[in-house]
Amino acid sequence: MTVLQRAIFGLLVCVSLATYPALADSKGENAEKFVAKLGETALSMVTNKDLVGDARREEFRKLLQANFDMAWIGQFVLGKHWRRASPDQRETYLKLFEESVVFTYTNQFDEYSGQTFEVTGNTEADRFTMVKSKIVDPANPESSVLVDWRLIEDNGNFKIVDVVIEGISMGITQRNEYSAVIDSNGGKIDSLLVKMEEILENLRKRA
Amino acid sequence: MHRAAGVFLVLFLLAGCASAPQDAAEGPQIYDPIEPVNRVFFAMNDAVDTMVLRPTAFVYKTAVPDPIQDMVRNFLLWLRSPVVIANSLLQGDTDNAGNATRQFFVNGVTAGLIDWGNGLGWGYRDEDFGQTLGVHGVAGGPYLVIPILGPSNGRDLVGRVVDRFFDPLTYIVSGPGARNAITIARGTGEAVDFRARNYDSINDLRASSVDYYARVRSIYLQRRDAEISNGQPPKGVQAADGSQEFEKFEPSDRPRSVTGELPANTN
Repeated sequence: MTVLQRAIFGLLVCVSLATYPALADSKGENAEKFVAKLGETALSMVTNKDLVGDARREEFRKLLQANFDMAWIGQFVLGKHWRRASPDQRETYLKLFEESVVFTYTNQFDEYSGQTFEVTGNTEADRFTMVKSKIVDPANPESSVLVDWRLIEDNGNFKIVDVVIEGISMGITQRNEYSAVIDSNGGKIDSLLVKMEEILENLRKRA
Repeated sequence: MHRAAGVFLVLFLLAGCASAPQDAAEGPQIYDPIEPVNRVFFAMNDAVDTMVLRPTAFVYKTAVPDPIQDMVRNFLLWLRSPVVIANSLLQGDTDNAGNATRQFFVNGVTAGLIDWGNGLGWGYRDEDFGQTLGVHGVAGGPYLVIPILGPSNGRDLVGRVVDRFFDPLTYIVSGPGARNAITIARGTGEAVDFRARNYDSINDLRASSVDYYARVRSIYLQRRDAEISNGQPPKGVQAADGSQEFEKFEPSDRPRSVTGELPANTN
């Protein structure tokens, strides 16, 4: 081996070592693409002025079910109470939970005013992949909102299990809130279900 | 001055004895020993919001021209910058202090009304003494709802009091009457500005809530943790929000389940 050959060999080793973590990162990159695509789809849905009422809610529900692991999120949010819930309560709860998510978010579609969505990076956290993104308001570019997405990979498919807005986890917030209702009603899960039904009724009226 | 020192001492003791019993299994550390009292104050504040703040913010955001609203916001931010600078320095964050100082002097040319860094951004975060205490390891202490002022905790209430000493206005303005008038005017301005900018979000937040008190409490505590860590997860914790709850969670329809039986009809 000449000096030159050795140098080239060394260079190759370096390059292959450098690319190795890049290959391992492709999970993170795929996760970024997944979130970017979701952002695009959601934005086109929000800006589609012809999509209103029930049709809009059905579209959103499809998007939700395809991209979010609703059963996972629902169980996480009910937390320690899930174990005690009867099969009937679980079924009612998961239905109410999905319904309230659908109404809460579709009701806010009309507040959209030209914000853009941008994926900015990812980190691996145990079995989760966190995708970082920001929502930029062109009218006020300094106050962009940071949104982190917690993804879990299941048989090669990504599903979102939490959304963290400026450090506030939607899953944890909802979990704290639901457990406060159950705890203040002597641990009765039905008390939460009644309350959820009531709020859902209000959201339907606001829709 | 003596009275202020007394208040400070009491608050400091309050924060000090607040080594909260931390339930590691449940979420951000929610320590709310006077919850019934807090709920009463929260309901009062909510009534003030519905009857006074919300309508005022609505009129403000619809009737006042946008450039004027920007000026009000710029001015309020400018007034705050000495407190940000002091606390950044106390946290050892000279970059943040430097950027806030630049903003203070450049915008000071037009009395803070016009933001000359608009579009470029001054690149500093808001800092207060509650965050400074948090950075130095002081726990939040009991969650508190303060009449009119809203959610807080032992640490952040101490921070509020201390921040007044970092504020040049405290020393420039003479006489407690004028000082109080300025504090009230400024507080009102900040409240209206905040409510107007988040008008729909706050209404939605309230309307979709099964327990508004618990929701706001959770948001406040998580947000303060994020502000203290400047959005960076603490060392050794990989979760972006610094919580380990997700790491431990196993849904019952997945392997490594800890919750036992399969859920009925989940898919």
